[in-house]
Amino acid sequence: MASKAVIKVSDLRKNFAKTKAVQGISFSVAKGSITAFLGPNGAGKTTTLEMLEGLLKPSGGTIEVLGFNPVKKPDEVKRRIGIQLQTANYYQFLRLKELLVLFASFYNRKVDADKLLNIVGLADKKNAYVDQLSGGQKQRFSIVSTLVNDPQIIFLDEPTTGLDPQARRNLWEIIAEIKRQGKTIILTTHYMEEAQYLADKIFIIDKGKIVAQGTTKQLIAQLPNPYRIEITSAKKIKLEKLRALSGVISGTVATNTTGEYEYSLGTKNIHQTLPAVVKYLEKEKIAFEDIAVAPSNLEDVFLTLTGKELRD
Amino acid sequence: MKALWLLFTAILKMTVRNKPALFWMLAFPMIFLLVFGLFNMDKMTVGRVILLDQAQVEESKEIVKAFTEGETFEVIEGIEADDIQGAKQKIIDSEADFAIVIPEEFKNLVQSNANIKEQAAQAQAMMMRGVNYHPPAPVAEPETVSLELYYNEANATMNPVVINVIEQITTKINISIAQTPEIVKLDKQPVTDRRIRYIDFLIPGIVAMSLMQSAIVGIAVFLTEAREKKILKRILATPINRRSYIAAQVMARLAITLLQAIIILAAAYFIYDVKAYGSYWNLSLWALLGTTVFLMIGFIIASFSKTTSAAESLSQVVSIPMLFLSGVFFPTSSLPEWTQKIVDYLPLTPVIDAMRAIAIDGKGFNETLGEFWIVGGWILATFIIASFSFRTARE
Repeated sequence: MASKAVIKVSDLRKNFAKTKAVQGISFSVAKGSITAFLGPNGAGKTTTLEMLEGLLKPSGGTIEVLGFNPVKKPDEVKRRIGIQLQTANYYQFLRLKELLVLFASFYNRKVDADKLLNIVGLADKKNAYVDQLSGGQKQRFSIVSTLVNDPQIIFLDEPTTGLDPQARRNLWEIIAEIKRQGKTIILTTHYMEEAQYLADKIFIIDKGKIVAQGTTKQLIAQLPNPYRIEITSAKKIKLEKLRALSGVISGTVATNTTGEYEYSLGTKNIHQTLPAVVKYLEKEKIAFEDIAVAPSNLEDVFLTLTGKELRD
Repeated sequence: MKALWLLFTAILKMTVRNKPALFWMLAFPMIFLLVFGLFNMDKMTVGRVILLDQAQVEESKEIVKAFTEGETFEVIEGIEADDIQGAKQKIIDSEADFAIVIPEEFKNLVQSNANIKEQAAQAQAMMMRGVNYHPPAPVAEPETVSLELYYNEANATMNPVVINVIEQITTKINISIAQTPEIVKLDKQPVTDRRIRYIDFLIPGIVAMSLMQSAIVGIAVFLTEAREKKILKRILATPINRRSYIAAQVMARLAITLLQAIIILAAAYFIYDVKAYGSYWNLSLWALLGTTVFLMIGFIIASFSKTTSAAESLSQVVSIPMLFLSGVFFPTSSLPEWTQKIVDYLPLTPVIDAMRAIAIDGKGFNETLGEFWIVGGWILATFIIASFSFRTARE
């Protein structure tokens, strides 16, 4: 990799009393990039992050964050990073401005609270309590609170979970803006659109292991079925027949709210499969409402790699 | 250093802004203060006394006068001096609160004392004339005479006040009779000036109770909530160390409870004219000592409670028994003896006792050292437990 690695992790492990949460993962993070850990709940994303942040002691492996070992020098690491925890809560009876000044003092720093709040569009809320904010505003505040010490790396643990689509997009813009300021960002998510939109590099993590890594394009290209043909029909079609068509690798069916059937066929060679599908439907005289061709997404990557849906 | 200060002021701000909690922190002791004050002020604090003067000498009449002149006591007349049974019946019928018997032997005591004085005067006169005087063998030390006190044990609110006053009177008399009889006259004055009412007895108890409540509940709930909501985790994700965080907590809580004590004392002063006879500095010092123990208990509770409601109930389990046993509302002497022995070593009891000794009896800090050692022991023990349990508790 051309740019300098700010985080190096090798064979990282964490065992809790009952579970092996992280089972030997290795990776590095390039300076100024956005890295996303994508995986379902309980995959080990948060545990990995907390070990990097110096909040949790690893059971094995080595970590280097900005040249420091977070186990031996947790304060050196904490001083240089910003942390957003998954459940963001702050003291109830302090105003936003007061909270930022207080948190800055924990780093022995002075902070221009108004300027920071302005970045996330909360300047007019500076005298509000956290409890008076909406969900999206709370998340925005919790992100800006990671900036009080002008950190080099920012860790965001599921920053958009539970937000409506508009609030989520708004947050993506903020995260992208923070990246433009030259900061390295590591985030966890179980929204593939989020990883797809933001991340320079994605680690797909499942059961404590990295099962795939790369850019969105690379991950999809690795798939045996990088394209999908989607058919919507009022009439039922035999799925085995569709699967048997030339070039079809995978096939699923679901019913939508209007009672129509929605078929999704995965393929590698679209030139071969699409004519075969159309020909079959004509031959069987099946009227279809809609037929579409789309590239596969991370959801398909995840499904293929782990055999389960991302949002279980 | 700056972080410590900002955290300190932040906790103060949060306490003041949390209106419901603030209300209860002040309203709870105020309700007790007002209710108990109204109930007992006029009726109960005037002790109705029967004086049975069997000695009928000048000195015993002085004692009777001491009770008659002041406003603290109402003297019930019409009982013959030797009718102890009749006096007891009055107490049983709640027509009198207590009876004091000055027995006939009191006359002898005064007499023998006068002899000693006469001999001393003779000796002095002879020495002044230059006569080589050999005093006769000294008369035997004057014997002691017991004043008998009858009172109703059920009258829990009255008794501590009465016993306290009578103890003061009798000490003064003992001292004065053994030295110069004239002093009886002079010394009775402060006794009547310093009327000790139930409310005077109650206020130190209320102050101690409220600082116990707000220290234990305050720290236990605040920390458990911070842990439950992961606020603590967020704070410990910054380079601030645990020690500063805890130091700021302790300092802020000490300031809050001290302020609370001042508000209660001020209210007591303005509403009921309750004044401390000892130093207010010593009272504050005791407020801080008491708060320290209860803060440590709060830390221990916080490290054992998983949820805020668990911390709340555990705080009540610890503080309510002390509230009733440690003599907030009535003296621990009304408890059975074995209970009293245990209760004396609960952390709240010595705090109340010391505060009462300072406020009512005007004692100095040195005279509360016995209580200090008990509380000091508690501080040490709870500090050790708290520092272990709080470290092992996961945030």
